[in-house]
Amino acid sequence: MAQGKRCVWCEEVMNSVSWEMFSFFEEEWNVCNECKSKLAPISGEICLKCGRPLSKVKREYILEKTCLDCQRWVEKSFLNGLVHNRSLFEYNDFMKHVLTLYKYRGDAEVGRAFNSMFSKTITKSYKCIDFVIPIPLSIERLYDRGFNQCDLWLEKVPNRLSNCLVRIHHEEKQSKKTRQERINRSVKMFRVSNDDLIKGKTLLILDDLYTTGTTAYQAADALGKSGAKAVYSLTLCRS
Amino acid sequence: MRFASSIFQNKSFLVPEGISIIENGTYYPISHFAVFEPQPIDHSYIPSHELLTFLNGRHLLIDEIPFPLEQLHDHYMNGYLQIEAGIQLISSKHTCLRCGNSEAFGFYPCARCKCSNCRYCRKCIKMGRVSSCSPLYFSPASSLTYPPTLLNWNGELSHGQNKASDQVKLAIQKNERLLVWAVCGSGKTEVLFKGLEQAIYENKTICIATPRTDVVLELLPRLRKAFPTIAISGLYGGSDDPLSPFIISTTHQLIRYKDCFDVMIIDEVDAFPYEYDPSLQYAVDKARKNNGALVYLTATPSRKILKQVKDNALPYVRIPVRYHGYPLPAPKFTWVGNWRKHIRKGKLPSVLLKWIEQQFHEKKPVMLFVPSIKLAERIHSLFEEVQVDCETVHSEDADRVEKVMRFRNRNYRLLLTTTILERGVTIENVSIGVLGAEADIFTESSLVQIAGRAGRSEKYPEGEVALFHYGKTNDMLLAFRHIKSMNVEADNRGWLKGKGVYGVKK
Repeated sequence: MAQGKRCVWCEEVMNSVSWEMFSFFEEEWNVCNECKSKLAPISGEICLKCGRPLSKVKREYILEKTCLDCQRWVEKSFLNGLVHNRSLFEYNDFMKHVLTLYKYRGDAEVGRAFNSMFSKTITKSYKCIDFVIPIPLSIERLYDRGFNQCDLWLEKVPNRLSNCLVRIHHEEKQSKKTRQERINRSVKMFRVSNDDLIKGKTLLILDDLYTTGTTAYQAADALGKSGAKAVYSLTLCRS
Repeated sequence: MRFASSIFQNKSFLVPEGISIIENGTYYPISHFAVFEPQPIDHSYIPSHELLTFLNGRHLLIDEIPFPLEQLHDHYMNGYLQIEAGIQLISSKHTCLRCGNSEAFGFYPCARCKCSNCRYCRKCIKMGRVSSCSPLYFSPASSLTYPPTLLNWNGELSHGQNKASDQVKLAIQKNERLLVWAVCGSGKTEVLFKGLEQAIYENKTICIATPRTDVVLELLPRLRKAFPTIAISGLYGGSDDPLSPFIISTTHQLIRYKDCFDVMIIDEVDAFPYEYDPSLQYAVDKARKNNGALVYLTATPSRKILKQVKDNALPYVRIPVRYHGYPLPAPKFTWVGNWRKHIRKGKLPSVLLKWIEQQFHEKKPVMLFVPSIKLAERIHSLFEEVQVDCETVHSEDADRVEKVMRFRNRNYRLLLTTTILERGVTIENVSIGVLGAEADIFTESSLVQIAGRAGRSEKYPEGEVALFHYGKTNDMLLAFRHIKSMNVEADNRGWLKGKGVYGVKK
């Protein structure tokens, strides 16, 4: 059988020689070009609040480059807000497939392909950040899966703060709830284990997916109440 | 998971974390331990019948077992089940004990064993993750008794089938290995019946393994009809049949078994992915009992298997003739020049078009094989331009089954496909074409299988097989000779109807 490096996503043998090998900018991804081409990086005009491409939002729902969903979040003034969210990719079918392999099948190497991209983004665009906090799993789910998918993305990030934010309940998965149930939840999702660590700090929370924004706003609220100065959010995808 | 080692009354054993037996025990990932001795059976202990029936002959991860850890531990302590580390050092190489992989591993910081670099097998991760800290649970297959059974099949075997059938029965009785080399359309399944009846009579566990789910689904009803009093389970990704001592399984599913089957029958032993995937061979060997019978079925044995035959290491029986007794249609070779250039310019070779028209005129549907998915799609659009109704079927096609069904029902007349449909498809009175027969992907065995799609029904035994090429290859000639030699052998034995038609020589 042909020996050669295989793509961590599709297992096809990759062309060993490509121009990328000579590029200073493209660190080794272990993903073939065919797979890369199926990703949809977010570009162009975005909602300044949640990072969603404005081309996906009906014009009448946009106000000063902010989408209607985000205008509604701002109105919920009982919450400590989020500065903004940015996402790297659109949540297309291929991305769904990749995340399924990573999270549910538990193939860590599949997700590790994004590590360098996260590291670079954080160094480049989030210079003002004191700590990066991966969105935690509940203890039960962490045991089931074996690892936290967001924590793994930050392996090489020096200012990662992993055990400060704690998920409270082990309840139904977000993805099994309706939109209204998700946005209007009153129960708290997170608590902070050690306020002193984050008091007065600027924080970046990291998650795999931003859908309604509930997780991000809940986390930002918990961190804000514990004294964080400002909370930003970065996710792999925006659905 | 983490375990602690302990010794009690001179027996050393492992205790999983979370079961409070050992005080101040030091817990390690299970791969920390090198020896996994089964505990002696304590006959005063009454094991759970449900648990033993569930685990019987299987090799499972803890996440796959719906029984509490305490209960598993009790059964282990009393010798009714065994545990071992899922990944162990074998000849100084890390090896996945479930699938045999020793090359493709990944690492992650593990919440279960607290190890910052827990190793896991990427080869069989589709079936659940085997990590350095995963124990594999295993319970030796217990003895079984089938209900009294008679074979419910009144068909008649052809001469060739009859001989092979006797040999299969003998191999199963004597727990030997056997290759059944049977041409496409010879009726391989019927050849197994007498041997299976014997195995059931002897209360032997049986596995028929095949590379593809389609085949499992096709075999199940036929075998259930033949042995109506026996529970037969079908195993494939997503199936939920209850387990039984007689299974029809995809080769993938076998990694969940260990020392389980007295009789292992492997269908299409040369087919992708079994032949190319050493972990599947590992799984087959692991699932079969050490002294179990092993029967290979194929129309096109690989070189590796033929070498064993040649060295007298593997007994074999050949069925050179189809069940209906008519000769195998031999391929005709037609030169079409630089057809790739034609296609690039948006033209179909005129010889090919003429041939297809001729087939349509004779009311025959056409299966046209091409070397790649991309070409199939390109050619598809060219046929649409000249208003030929056609469909394309390839490996990444979700509607594969449905498209083939509509072709079978004559909803359209031209099916474009790749080698994905070289096996297992039977369409009445179909004509077979191959465009670009010189391509590397069309090996001898591939072409023999493709030609084997033609002339399968007794009503229309004279099939048409046309290879359109830009220069004959060795594999094309080998395929032609292969088919011809089978016809000659059948004729020499006096098994052939329609005398003297071995094939059209070019």
